[in-house]
Amino acid sequence: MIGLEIHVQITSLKTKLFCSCPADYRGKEPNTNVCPVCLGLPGSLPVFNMRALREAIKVALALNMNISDYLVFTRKHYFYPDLPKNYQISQYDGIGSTPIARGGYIMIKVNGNLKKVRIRRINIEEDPGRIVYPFASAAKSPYVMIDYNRSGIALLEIVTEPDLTSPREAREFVRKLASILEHLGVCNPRLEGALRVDANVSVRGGERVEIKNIGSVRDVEKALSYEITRQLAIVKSGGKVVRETRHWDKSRGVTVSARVKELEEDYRYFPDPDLPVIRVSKGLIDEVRKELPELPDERITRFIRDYGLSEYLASVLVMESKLLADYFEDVVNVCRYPRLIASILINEFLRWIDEAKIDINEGIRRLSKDRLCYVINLYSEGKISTKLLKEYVKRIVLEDIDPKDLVKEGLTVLSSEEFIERIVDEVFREYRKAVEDALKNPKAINFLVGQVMRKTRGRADPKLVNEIIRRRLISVERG
Amino acid sequence: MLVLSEEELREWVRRVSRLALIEIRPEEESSLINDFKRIIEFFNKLQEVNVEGVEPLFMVPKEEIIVRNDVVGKCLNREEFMVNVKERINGYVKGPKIV
Amino acid sequence: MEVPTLASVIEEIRSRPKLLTEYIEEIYERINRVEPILRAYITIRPKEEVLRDAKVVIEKLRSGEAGKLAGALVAIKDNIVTKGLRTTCASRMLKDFIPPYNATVVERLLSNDAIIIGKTNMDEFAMGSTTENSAFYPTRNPWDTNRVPGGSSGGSAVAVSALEALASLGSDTGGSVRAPAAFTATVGLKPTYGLVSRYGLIAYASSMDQIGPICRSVVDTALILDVIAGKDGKDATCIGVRKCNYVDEVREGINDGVKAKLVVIEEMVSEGVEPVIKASFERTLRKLEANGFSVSWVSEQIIKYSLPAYYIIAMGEASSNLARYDGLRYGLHHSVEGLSWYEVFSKVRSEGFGREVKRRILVGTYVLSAGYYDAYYLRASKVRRVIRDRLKDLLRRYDFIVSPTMPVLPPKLGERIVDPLKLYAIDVETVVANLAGLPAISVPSDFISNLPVGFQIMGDEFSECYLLKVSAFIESILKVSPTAPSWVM
Repeated sequence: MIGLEIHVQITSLKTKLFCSCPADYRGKEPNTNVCPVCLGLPGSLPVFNMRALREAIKVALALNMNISDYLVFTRKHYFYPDLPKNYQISQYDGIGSTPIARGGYIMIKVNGNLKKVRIRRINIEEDPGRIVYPFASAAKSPYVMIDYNRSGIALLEIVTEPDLTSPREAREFVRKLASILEHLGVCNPRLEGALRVDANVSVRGGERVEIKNIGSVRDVEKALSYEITRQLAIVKSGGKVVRETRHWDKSRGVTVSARVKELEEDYRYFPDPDLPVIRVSKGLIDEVRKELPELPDERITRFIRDYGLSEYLASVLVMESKLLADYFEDVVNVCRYPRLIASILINEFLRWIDEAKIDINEGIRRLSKDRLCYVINLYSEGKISTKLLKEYVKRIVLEDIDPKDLVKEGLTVLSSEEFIERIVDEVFREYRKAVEDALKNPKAINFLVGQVMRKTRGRADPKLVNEIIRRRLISVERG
Repeated sequence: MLVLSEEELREWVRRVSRLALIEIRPEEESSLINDFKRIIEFFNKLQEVNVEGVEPLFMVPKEEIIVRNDVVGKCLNREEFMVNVKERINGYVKGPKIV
Repeated sequence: MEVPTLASVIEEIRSRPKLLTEYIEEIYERINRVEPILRAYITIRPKEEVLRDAKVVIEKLRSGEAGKLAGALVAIKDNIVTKGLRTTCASRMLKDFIPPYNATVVERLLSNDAIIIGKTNMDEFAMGSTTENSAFYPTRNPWDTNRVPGGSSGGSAVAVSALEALASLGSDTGGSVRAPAAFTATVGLKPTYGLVSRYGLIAYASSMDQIGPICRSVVDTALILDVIAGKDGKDATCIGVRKCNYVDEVREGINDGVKAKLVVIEEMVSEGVEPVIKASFERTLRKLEANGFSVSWVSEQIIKYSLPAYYIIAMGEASSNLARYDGLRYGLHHSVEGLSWYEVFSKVRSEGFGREVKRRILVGTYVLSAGYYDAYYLRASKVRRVIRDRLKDLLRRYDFIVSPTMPVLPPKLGERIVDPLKLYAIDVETVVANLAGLPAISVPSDFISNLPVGFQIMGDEFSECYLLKVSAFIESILKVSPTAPSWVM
């Protein structure tokens, strides 16, 4: 049984949740993006960023949730070096407060099966500061270093019911959630630290273990797999899993017991006397609902219907990144060939931007709509083959080269029969044994085709090469 | 329930000392427990009041709401803030270890 | 010898700006003389700095650009942050805290050309009613230096009463502006909750704290309130409803008089109130009746529960507001290396807080804890609503609720502080206004054995216009303020 608690930064905001410090804190010198409020200086007071409520409502609507009539802020008390006031402003279920939204779900698809994952609640709360360890690992550091630039950033805490039953499902869930958030424009999950996952894992009805510090979608599956294996091993050897909090150590690929002193957990929630009660009117919700952009599931359905894509292609395009899906539509609107372009983007483009270690934005800049359409045109006019098309994409992404230059280089289909015949002759001379094999076994012709392609650096038109080789084989056979 | 025995009082004083992270020295303990006892007794007077059906009064505004529009403002000058930080490393605030 | 008021000085200086320098010299000379005994201040700005500020103000006066408070020499309670000027809350925890920003009220005073003389002594973190809980030293009552001046804004009241400043700001959570005003024969106003910004007021009980002026007369109070009151975008609880110019109302009150319906709640004049205070109060009522006021008496049982309700809420909120003091970003520090964080935090908090503060934090933690929240904090909040509803109901039928400000004469030093419950008991008249969020003012009404007695007037919310008007008239009838002990003059 797996339940997830995901903290998502509302990266669409320009300022923090309760003060007007800029929300874009990444890359700034430590403790320069702060003010009396987010530092918790004596005498400071919080004032709520109303836009955060709109963004929260967007998410709640997209996740099919019931939205609370009132937003009541509460103080959650605990001491920690990264928490400036030693309390966090959030909401609570009880004492006259409720989470901003409750009772929703996300549908995920795993192994072809649809599954409903229920969402228990969403809270709006503030991010604490960042703790940095001077000596790489927490255990080795005799002290810590604290940067409050992040303190006060608006967070949505999204908590699921323990409906997930495998690390795979968990990963799919987080992927789907990230895609929804990205499409809503509420959170860019690619930003470092914008999406953090904590998990509650138990096996076979045993104790729950909390895993903290899972920083990315990819890590979710790894961390959970490790933890489940660990727990099963304990149970198999007759032991009992201890209820505790563990940290995911990404570098070593293990979860480590946090061994924090067991301080009683009593958050002493009470309504924050510094903040007003905000009524969440039907009018506001309707306004936000009208502004909702197309959500992933809707978009996937539309891609299948309007572009004739397979479900697989449509899903990957939409879920991989909103940017990618936007780019796809952009390109297709200009030069058509949706299935081909989808296939290129997913099978070629993504692979090469990974290899070039650049992000999608840079990838799209290099393989711009104009460049890609130019290449598609070459293909549709027969000037390049499918194989060459892939080569073009590869080189444009890796080298940021203009396709017109590749054409100048001569990277076009060789369709000169004469030229190919000469190469075929060469190959037949060099590989006499292969020729004999091919005469006996028609399938062995592929080796010869391959050699011709190699010699022409992939430029030869494979169909033509095939044809010419067969003709030559026949003539060899004859005489 | 609300009236605590000596033992419960002692337990509670120790508990709130842990929750509030305020150390109580042994020589302070018994007078503090006594103060606690008398103050709680004084508070328990409120149990005499009939508050059935009464909504609690929290003084926060409910009609006229003061909030912010998402507009960037000025940040603090780091040096002005750091003048109060007794232990620092470069631009960071030095803090005690957490594991 | 006539006691100068802020109003009279401001007027004088407008026609003769150079006088400002003389006033400053006079105040510093007096400070040198009386401070060693009274100890109203924690931090006094160097005279040279103040004189430099004065030069700028004098220039502005000459060019006709000066603000409404040009000439005001103000003392600020040390729980209100002042940029670059040490702010301690009278606690070891903040003994060298230099705020990097100004409280909104300070900004407003400064932009109206007031000059700050210094930061005044108080009960540590505003927890107390006598200023004996200061971590540094107690402040003494200038009317009898063996007695307390009241608290927690004792320093501010004494600075004004002993002519060490022309006006001051204090803060009031359960009576901390009105109590010292009553004990020092000065005027102290706690505004309606939400009239004055709390941004920059170091929080004690957020749902009850208000900053209020302590001055020598009602017109001075109105002058200060005119500048500090009003909405502030940095304080989400400050809806700042203002309906008039307060000074104009005061002048009207003095010139035209007011006929108002006053009501006394029996429960506020019985338990714990000394007979001499009750007798003085009744004498005052008769004087007012002779001047056109009507006085009625009613009974409101719920008032008997205001003290426990107040302390539950105050302590609960205090335990939360004081959680932030761990020595990392400011305040008393403990070297961090080698120790775990909870050890470091515990050491700092145990050494930095005084006894009364620790007591309130611990009890406050209890009343918020799981399982006890309902029985204490929540219940107290319900009682709070009943109290407020009853008072507002009364204020629909009557104009003002009146009572003695304090149930006793100023106690001797050391008398009340031995026993927390004995200390809490003297707040019995004042906490009601904080619980209900209503404005209340203390006006000097009498002297008994040369010790000051105050008269408290409470109005409906955001009724400061009417409240100050009536107070000015009452002040002119009672003829006690403005006044100062002869030995300081």
